Amino acid sequence: MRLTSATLNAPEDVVEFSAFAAAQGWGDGLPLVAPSVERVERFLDAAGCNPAEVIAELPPLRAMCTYELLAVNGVMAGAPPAALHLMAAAVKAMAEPDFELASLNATTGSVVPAVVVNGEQRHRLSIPFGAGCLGGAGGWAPAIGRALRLTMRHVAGQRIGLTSESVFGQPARVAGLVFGEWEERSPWPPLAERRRTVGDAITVFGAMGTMNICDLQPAEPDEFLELIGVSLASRGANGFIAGPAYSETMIAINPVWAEIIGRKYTNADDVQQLIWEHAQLPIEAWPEHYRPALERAGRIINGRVSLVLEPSQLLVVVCGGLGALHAHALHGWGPSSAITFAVDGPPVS
Amino acid sequence: MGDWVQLEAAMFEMSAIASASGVTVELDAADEELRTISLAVDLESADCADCVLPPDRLAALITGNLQRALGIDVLVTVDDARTGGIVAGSATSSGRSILVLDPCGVVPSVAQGDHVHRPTIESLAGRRVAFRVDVLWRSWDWTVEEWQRCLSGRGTTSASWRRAQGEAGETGRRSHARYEQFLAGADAAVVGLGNCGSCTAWTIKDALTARQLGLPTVAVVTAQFEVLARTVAHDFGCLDLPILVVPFPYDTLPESDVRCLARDSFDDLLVLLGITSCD
Repeated sequence: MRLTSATLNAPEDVVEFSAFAAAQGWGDGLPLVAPSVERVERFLDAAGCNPAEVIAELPPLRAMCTYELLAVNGVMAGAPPAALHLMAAAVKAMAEPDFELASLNATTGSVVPAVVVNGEQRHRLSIPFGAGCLGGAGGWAPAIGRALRLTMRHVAGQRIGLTSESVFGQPARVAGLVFGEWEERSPWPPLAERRRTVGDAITVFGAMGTMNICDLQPAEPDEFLELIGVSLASRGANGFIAGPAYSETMIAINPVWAEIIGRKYTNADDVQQLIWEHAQLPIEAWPEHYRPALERAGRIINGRVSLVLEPSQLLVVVCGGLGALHAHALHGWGPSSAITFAVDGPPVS
Repeated sequence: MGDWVQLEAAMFEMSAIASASGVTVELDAADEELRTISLAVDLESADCADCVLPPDRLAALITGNLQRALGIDVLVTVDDARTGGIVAGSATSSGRSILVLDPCGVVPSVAQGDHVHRPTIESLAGRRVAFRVDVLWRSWDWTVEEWQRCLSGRGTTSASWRRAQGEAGETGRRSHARYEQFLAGADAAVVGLGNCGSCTAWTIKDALTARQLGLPTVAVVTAQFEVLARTVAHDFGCLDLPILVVPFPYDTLPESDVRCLARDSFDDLLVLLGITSCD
């Protein structure tokens, strides 16, 4: 196998290598696995990938991300070779024009591409979709997420203060945000299938962060949907900025609530519609001088402003633990569009 | 913590010894907190290159000397032209090293001349200036109004086109086509406002579109985003895009202040467009 990345002599010890890497400008502050030639070759071999194959050009540096580079960063993060095809699909999806990666990587916002995993691969790769799925559950998700973040740092060149103006960043900029959908407990088809991709697939979504929604009282479907909708609609949510053409929002609903909601609303479109109707604010919620920009953007309809322009811009995912009581909002970063891709390549044991 | 004050003396001593063989050892960087030292070795003047220690042993020797001088373990990396890369001196007594792969991609090289030669315009008399505005910053609208007023006083016409950034798919393509059409009728372009991360990226992209069409073009950004603006322009292959920098914060200033700043910076705008005639 011929690898073409530059090589350097480095300390073998993990602590010393991490210091060495930091001196090179690599890494994220956490310990790194040294991407030795042998490790990377084994990684690529196990995944059955051609190292020279280009996955995508990544902004802002416009370097070409190859399977080799993705493998190098995967080894550094401690990701499993079995995840290489999933990671490649995620990188390809992020590079799609409608995902707006160039702007997303530069923004003052805290946005990170979240990766929602569908299909049998969730089990093979131990991608969490139950309790603690957004962070804290075991499995390979943090290492896979970190591999993607390292790739964004090293290959795309996203660096705070240089090419990224993110005011706060967020924890997921280090470990990523990779989680699965609990398809088996969802009353609706999997997210990827609703977005016309069946089987093993990923959806990348620009997530500003994670926001918990908690209430102990609701018991009826409409009560849950009203709670979720009004909780989404805070003035500071990105979707209410008048300028960008649009914004999406993702909602993670726990399986217990989803089952109750699903008894009445068997079509996910109806769920999106109802949440959308509640995710609005009256124009009076804004100071007067905001009105011209909102009017110019066509955002004021019947005296109200919707968080997202259309119900289809609310992405519903069923995941989380059976303790119920909570939903989770991932406000989007306008104007990035979620992208869903099939994960190609043979399953890797 | 080590005695980093001794680093200079240690370097001087090492350089003196090395130069006797025609080898140059220079300090690239030193980080007391990370305990790392980066050196560069040049053998161009060496009397006998074959007589110089092999790269890994030279790195180990240098490391040992520096550790003794500083009194602590340090990680020393040596850029040795013979290897075409960087050698790490052993920072511990174990001294085991491995060959690792660089995780960074190859950045497309950018050379002056890869991009169109910077177009300028000597006079604006009877010409038309295109202003690309946005949907985000009211201060930019105020600024553009002032500049358009100044231009009008010089017999120059102008027009504005509003970019709603990030329109996707076919909508985005049609929008961009309209932007290019708008530019086609102009003699110069002023694009802004870069006042956040994404809108700075969009400002530069739209400025480069105008530049590619052969228009003298100035991008306008606030001071906080100047580095990003220049980096993005560089990454797109343009090393000399004129960028007018306005103060930051800008959009939170009173309207009267913004308009005053705009009038004060009008001459800077003309200079960046290449105006040499007072017409």
